[in-house]
Amino acid sequence: MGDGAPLIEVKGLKVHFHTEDGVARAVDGVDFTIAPERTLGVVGESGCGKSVTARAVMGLIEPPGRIEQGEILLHLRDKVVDICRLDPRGREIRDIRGSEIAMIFQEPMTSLNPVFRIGDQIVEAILLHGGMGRSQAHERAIELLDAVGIPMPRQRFESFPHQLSGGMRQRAMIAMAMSCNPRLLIADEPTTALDVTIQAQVIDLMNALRRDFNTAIMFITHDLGVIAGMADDVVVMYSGKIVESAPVREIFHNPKHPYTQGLMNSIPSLAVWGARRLKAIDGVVPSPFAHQQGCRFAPRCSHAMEVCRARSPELLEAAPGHSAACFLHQAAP
Amino acid sequence: MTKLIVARLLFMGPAALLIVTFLFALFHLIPGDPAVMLAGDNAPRAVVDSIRQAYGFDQPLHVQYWRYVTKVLQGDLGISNYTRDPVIDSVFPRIVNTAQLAILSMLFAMTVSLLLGCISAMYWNRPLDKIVTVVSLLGICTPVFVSGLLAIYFFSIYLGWLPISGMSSWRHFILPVITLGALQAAMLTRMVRSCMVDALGKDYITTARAKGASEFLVVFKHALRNALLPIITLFGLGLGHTLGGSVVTETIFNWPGLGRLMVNSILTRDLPITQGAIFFFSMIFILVNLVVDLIYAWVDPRIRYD
Repeated sequence: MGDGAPLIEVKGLKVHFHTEDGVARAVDGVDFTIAPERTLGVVGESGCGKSVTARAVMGLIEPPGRIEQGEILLHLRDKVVDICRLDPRGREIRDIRGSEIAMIFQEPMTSLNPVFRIGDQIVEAILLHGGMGRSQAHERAIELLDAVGIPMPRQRFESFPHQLSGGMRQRAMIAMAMSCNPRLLIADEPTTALDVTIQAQVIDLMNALRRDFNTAIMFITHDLGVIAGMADDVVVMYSGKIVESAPVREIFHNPKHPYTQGLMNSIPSLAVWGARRLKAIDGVVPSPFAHQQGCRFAPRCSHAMEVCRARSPELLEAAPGHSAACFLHQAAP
Repeated sequence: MTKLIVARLLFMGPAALLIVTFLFALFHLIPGDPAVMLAGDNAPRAVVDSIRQAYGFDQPLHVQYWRYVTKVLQGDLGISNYTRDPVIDSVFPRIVNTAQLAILSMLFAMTVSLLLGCISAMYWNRPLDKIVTVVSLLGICTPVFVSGLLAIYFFSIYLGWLPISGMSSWRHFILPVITLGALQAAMLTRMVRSCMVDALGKDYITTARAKGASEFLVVFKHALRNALLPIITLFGLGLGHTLGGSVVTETIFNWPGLGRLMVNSILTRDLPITQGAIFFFSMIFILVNLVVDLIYAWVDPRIRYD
């Protein structure tokens, strides 16, 4: 990863949901670091805890969810704050949200407020973090709409969300997120709800903005193709834990964890000569309510050994800069 | 938007005609000869006949119908059987009295329910929410004749602070407005709460929080503005009900309103007054609904700009 001080350090994060059906361990011990201006891809199936991790970084865990353990250290210019220790409705975290860390969501259809004008929603974000008057913020919002490639930004400022297409709404969301030059942008499956051509446009846009704004991105997706085109580093999550963490090339060319290997095998290939049947990973994702001993992937893993069912493997370095939580790559204890 | 207004205004015509037709039918559907009813049961045959002729009851139905409709269009709703005054003169002041009571009660109910409903939603499933829910349930379960009499006993008789009945000063308004308003407030609080809980669970609320908006902004700007859409409809319905359904409150507080007039006219078989009261009540209801629709459209840009 990058040199110097990291931007965000997540250490031993556990987020549990206390529901009537029991405790769901959505995130169960997660460590990762995002360096300034780098893009971290977070990959995993639905329900593996990627979105909950992202919300925890924003300080947006709402009851019945609770951060049980861990630290989320945000390195500000003059100090380091632990987001887990901040009051989720307090002043401190509100000053961070939107200005230091911004977020865009999966559903552009529902994540903009339907009763306010697009422009006013961006202006609100700018005004919340001060430093500008209303008319200045108005001009800035139009600049942003232009920067994210919305045609006729002056007219579009006055539009309501229902008057824009899904792709345009996601662009407007991105404009809003970028409005205060955040140092970290969390993108929670921002392309999943969009058509493939629009997906590509949004990815191009994010790559361009990353260069222009020098923003680090935490990009959450279950689409490995998107990760290949966006990320510098990748963490693979499975059932609330990180199973592998490496630079993007390493993950694609030399996956270590059997789960990551399984994911790679399930990518469709366009090669005519090498055409093969897609290999699905057998079995299903364990329920977050189940408290199983040992490695959570063991029941679905073709390489599972005795030790895998007895103990849970730690995320350890298997090669320089490449960690995997798998006993196959660790010296037997 | 203009299209919507025109469509809704055009709809008022047929609705009004339907009401007039119903009122005309009412006159002829209820048992008994209308001429005998007007003349009195023991009136001589000659008197009944002359009344029948004078009122046109001897004409074919369609002629009577046409005459009735044209008279209503000219603002003539007939003459009271008892006072011999034009119906409109007895009904109109009563409408004003009822409207004062209804509008003030609804203002009270809206303020209380918005406040309690929002608080309840903000503290969803926590003790404060449960207290509000129980209190509003109690409010819904308490009939106006119980709460009204208790209020009179406590504030007027025991403490002696407020007058018992009548409407000669602003102090006379307090008890009836609160009695009637509390029932509406109790019902509306539950509605506001569920609309707000619904709105607070939406994705755009997470977006607002992610921007760094304060909880106050999140609740009272982002959530309330969206929750208002269904709430406006409920407020309109509530106003319609208080306008027509305050018979019990008006009776308890001896309030000279439309509800009491209507009940009295039914008891005394003063049919023109009953018709007039129903006519005005229906027209007000249609008008309130129209206004609600327009406000709704104005608040929701998805309707305003389509």
